[in-house]
Amino acid sequence: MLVDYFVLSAPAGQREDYNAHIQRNGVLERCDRSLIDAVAEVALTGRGGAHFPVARKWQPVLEAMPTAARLTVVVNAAEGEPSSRKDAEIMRRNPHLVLDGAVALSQSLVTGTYAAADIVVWLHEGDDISLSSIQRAMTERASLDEPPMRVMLAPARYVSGESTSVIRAVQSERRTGKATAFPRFTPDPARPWIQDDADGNPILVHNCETMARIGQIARVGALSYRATSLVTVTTPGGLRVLEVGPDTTFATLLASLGVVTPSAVLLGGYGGQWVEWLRIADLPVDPDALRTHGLSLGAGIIIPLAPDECGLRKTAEIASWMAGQSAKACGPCTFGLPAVAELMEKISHKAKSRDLRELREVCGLIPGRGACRHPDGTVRMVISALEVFAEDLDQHSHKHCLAHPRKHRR
Amino acid sequence: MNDSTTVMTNIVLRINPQACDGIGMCAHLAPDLISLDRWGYPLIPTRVLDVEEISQATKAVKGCPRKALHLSADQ
Repeated sequence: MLVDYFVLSAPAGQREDYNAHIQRNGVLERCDRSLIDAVAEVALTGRGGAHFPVARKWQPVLEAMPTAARLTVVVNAAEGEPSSRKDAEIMRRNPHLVLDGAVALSQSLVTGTYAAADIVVWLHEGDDISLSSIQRAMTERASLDEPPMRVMLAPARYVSGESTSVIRAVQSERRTGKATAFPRFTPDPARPWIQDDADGNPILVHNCETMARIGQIARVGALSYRATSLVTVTTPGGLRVLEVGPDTTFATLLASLGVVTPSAVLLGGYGGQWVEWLRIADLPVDPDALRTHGLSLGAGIIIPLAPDECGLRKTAEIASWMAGQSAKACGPCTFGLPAVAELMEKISHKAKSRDLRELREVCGLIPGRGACRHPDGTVRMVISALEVFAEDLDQHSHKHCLAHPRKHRR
Repeated sequence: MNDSTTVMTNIVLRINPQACDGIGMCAHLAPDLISLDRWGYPLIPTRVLDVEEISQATKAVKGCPRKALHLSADQ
């Protein structure tokens, strides 16, 4: 089955208000600890890109709760990448499902007499349609007995969506009343997914789609869970968001959208990896299945290389955009990404072996040395391009290009 | 925090990359442990340090003008 509805229950272009939402999905019952077991049973993984097991992220929260006064549950809907729109689509069409997830989650995690929860929806500045949709949703359910909810606006740039940025913003807002959205240095890299603020109160961040899935699991239980995937595909006609069943292959997906068979796709977006089409065509669009092939769906971003596009050129453009999106907080990212972008730009014109050698060397200096994963993703994408477009690299070393065979490049 | 009596703990050197300004003092104070990359930022070993390395690393931690380095127990 190509299209399956587990998260996007509202038709495209329509917004489900609270009444329509409970008519279609039913009222959300009050949740308890059984939600945690249900989420563990379906092995739900985070849809922000990292696919970390959701239930495992809750363990440190459960440990912290007995002595904590407050749990802040954050919906991360700051989709930083231009080629991703799934979260915006959920916010526009099914805002109540997202809030259901956050409510259900706080109900099942907050125990103890004095502990309370609050819910924050983290959005990009300027994302006005999502903002009005979620604010209306909060108003529509204001009379329900639910934790207080509010929106926080993030500066509209890529790293604002990093969960460390979100945590830092929530913390600094509590302390100073103002939010700063730089990624936050994690003193304990073994536990990056929960941050105790100065009071020891946990802040739990989940991606918007993850939260909507938690909302549905709270409602239908583990048995009726449907392991669909939400994807954003770049097509000649613009971005298309689809929810697909786990038996949909990449070939069926692109065919259904009328996309010409590409030579390669960029899987997982700008911080993802290039994959040869022949390797991926018959694989299912499913994070678990892809993982067994050493691939990651990331945040569900699929960018097919158009027939007249040069993969190396495209990689250079993306690397340059990613360098511009650096928060410029850490040296290896501030200086490393522009160096990568510049070398990639040179190589996309004429692939000199000296530049290639230097690019590989610079790429080796960056991963794991920043406070967030922004530089690591960029480097991964560039390195995958050098592998997947190896043949074209050879052409480029003679100033030719596979995408433009007749045209001699300047 | 990490006094010299805790010999049984596995100690690693960590850096807060946002605090580091690439001044390079650490590479002078702990030359066997830390080298600088082409932009002047330190390359920090991720391995568990032995006793001699710990004493060199401690100098770098104390000497960093940005307080970007710290020793921590490996997990």
